[in-house]
Amino acid sequence: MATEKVKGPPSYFPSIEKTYGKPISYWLTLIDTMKERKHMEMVSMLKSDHGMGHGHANALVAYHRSQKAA
Amino acid sequence: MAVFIREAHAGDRDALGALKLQSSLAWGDHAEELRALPQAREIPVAHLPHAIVAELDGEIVGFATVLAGRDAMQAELEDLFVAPQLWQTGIGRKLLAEAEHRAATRGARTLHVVAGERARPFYEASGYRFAGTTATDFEPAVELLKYLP
Repeated sequence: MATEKVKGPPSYFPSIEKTYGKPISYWLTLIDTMKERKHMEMVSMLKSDHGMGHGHANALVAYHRSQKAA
Repeated sequence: MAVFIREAHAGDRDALGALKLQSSLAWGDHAEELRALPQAREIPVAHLPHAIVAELDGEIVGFATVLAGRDAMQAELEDLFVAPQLWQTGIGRKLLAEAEHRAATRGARTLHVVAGERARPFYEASGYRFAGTTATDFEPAVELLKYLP
């Protein structure tokens, strides 16, 4: 059976939920509250305030931006 | 030169932050922005359990942090800094080798790192290959990866 491999930011989601113990919706809501910030400022806040690594923080912000742009 | 690698503990946080800023400033790029940026001198508390430090004569002279990556098969090298006066002495290589060992022990098959162009040769000489581009606070950077033995 062929399964499609998840690519792009959502490919990080299972690891993000497992690592920080909160659903993706929690993080997207949190990013909503940062809407005046630039992309890298959001990434920095997720890293410094919530202990994320660059990859996880960047994936969440990139996904959030793509959803808003759609 | 006897360099000792150990796990970081909470009391190291200030020293690691200072080392991170000192090392970042040593290139001479973005000095004003780095000094103004709180995260340039701070290590998130949650990263400390995932950090290892290099000590020389009881002084912390470098550190590396390995975090979870995209999935269980990947790990991410979040930080790797060495005191500038000790660059090119093998401390970075030693930290990198230990970081790779720890990532592999946790089940990761690849270690990823986001590096600026200045750091890129160091990683490429250690077997890392281009995997994509990404953004950082100041400039575009490259993502590099290495398949772990």
